[in-house]
Amino acid sequence: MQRVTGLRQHYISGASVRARYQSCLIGWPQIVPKNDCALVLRRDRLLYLGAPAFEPGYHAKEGLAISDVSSGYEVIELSGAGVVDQLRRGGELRLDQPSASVARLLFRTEVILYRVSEATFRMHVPRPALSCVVGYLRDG
Amino acid sequence: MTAVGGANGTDTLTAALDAARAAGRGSPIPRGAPRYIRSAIWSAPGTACRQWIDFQNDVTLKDIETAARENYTSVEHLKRYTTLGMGSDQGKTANIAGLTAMASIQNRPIAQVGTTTFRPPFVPVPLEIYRGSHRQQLWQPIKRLPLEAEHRKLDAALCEYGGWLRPGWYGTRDPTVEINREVRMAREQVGIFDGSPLGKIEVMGPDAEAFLNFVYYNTVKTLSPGKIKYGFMLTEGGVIYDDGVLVRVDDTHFIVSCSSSHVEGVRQHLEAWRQDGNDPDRIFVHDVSHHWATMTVTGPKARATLETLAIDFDVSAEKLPHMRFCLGCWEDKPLRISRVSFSGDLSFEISVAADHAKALWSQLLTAGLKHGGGPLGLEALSIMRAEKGYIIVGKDTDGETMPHDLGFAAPKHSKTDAFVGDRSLHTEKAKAGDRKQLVGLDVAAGARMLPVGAHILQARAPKTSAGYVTSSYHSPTLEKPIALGLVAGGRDRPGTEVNIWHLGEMHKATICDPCFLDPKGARLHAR
Repeated sequence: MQRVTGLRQHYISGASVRARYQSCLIGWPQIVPKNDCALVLRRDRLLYLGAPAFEPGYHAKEGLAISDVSSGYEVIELSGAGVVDQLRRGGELRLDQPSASVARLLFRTEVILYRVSEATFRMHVPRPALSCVVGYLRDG
Repeated sequence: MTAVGGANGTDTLTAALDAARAAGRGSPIPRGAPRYIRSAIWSAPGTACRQWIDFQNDVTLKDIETAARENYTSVEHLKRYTTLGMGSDQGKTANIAGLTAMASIQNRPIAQVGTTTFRPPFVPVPLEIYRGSHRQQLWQPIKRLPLEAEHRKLDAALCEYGGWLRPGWYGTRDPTVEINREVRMAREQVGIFDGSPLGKIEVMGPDAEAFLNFVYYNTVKTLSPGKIKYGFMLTEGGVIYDDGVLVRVDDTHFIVSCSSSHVEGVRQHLEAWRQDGNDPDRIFVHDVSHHWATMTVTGPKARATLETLAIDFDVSAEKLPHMRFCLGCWEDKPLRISRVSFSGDLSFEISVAADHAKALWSQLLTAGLKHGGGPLGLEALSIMRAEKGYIIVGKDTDGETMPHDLGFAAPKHSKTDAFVGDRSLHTEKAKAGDRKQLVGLDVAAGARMLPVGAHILQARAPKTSAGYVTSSYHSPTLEKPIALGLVAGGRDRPGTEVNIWHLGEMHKATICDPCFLDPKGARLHAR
């Protein structure tokens, strides 16, 4: 288990947000590329990871609402032989069941879970819940 | 208690011993691969023995046979006649057995019998997910502050408040001594309070104003950018669901600052109304509460404390009066400042990205110390807000309290646009004269504090309860006990002496205005 720091994270919502970021959308169980990407959370919301410093607020021309949440989620990477089994203890998780969204309820916490390689998972945990989720993953 | 062996689904001696050893060591209990019985066990209609089909609703094979005999052979009729599959598992454990039995009774293939409508969860969910808080704190995770380590260094007594671990008070002496010290410090100098759990829900979009005007009891459409309004969200029954301040950042951007323990509920409340009756493509709700750490600087020296920071805007009374908001920068980092107060004194709520909370806290504390101030815990702030007559929803309100019971009646009469709870505020019950209303309870200096929950008795026989004490403290500022209560028709009875009963003991108090301190707001608007 490793912490990932310095990741810029923005909520971007809008009726056409998925069409706008179609080229870099990530769902489950897709593997994220190294560069910027847009994690799909729901029909009209993404968590954009990466470089641009978006201006928070509502952008009328594009019809997008943007908020910086870079400090709101702690990010951890999980890898190893038993990682899937360990994650499954917190809720339903199947690699063969695709989903447009990477938002999940694990360990009673609303997390964002996706893959960065075949066997490495990355989890965004709401900052206040980090120690509990890490504790559960460590001690089972 | 840890279940091992057969009680934990382990049916071999070796595995049971391994599990027992692991439990004894406190290690995770090894879990074998799940074993499934794959051979079908068919129903045998007509047997004399009782065969259970639905364990949740006590449906037996005999009930299925009766249903078939009564011609309730359609699966939908079978379900309603026997209550098969109508338990909390929605048939996950019983439906297949029941439908198999019906197929067997009718001598038809199972596929022809059919199924009822499937409902979620569609896939199996581990039972441990449902065990909730019985599975230690990990299933009811305590929320932790970004500044927890800093609070521990200051000898904070960390207690749970609304699911958060927060400093109740600081210092190692008797808690009452420390709490009273903090109240006096904040009233005379300055207190620095960690208010990070406060809700910060951003509502944006072209319809954000109309939406919030509908969701709030108070009129929102007249709120100008840069201004703040205190308001209530009501249920459809007109009962107060939450209170807090609403910030208008610009024409299409608002921040709902709701109670710390209600953030998830308020977010869901907003989402529900956004998606039902409004155009969800023109309103967007982002909960950014965890991104922003919030620190409150309160007291007569609050402005002087703030002026020592390297911030790029003017916090003078002229530029930032009470209930105003501004965006700015502190050491090139985005900062949000709201001039709002829960203490009744001059206060600033400062929000910065949680990653920078430690640096800001440290600077504020250093500056505050120079002015004779220091950290302020939640217990001291609770006393200060009660001195001012400010409520805590859920403590000073109950499941029937409407805004006019607290003295906020104006929107009920003057707001012309529809809002959630509107009609319920005009029912016979809402207009009744004996509604429980918020009052102050003036207790004589030297008398005992009133117990919270104590009954305020009717003036005349029968001496039944006319209400109860909701908050009660010893006020270090006023050097006497103070209390708030909900009393039937209480707002029309100022100056009335009431008897208060609790566990066989009687107390006396006089009904008064809930605001015990600075009723004209001189401290709040201090320059």
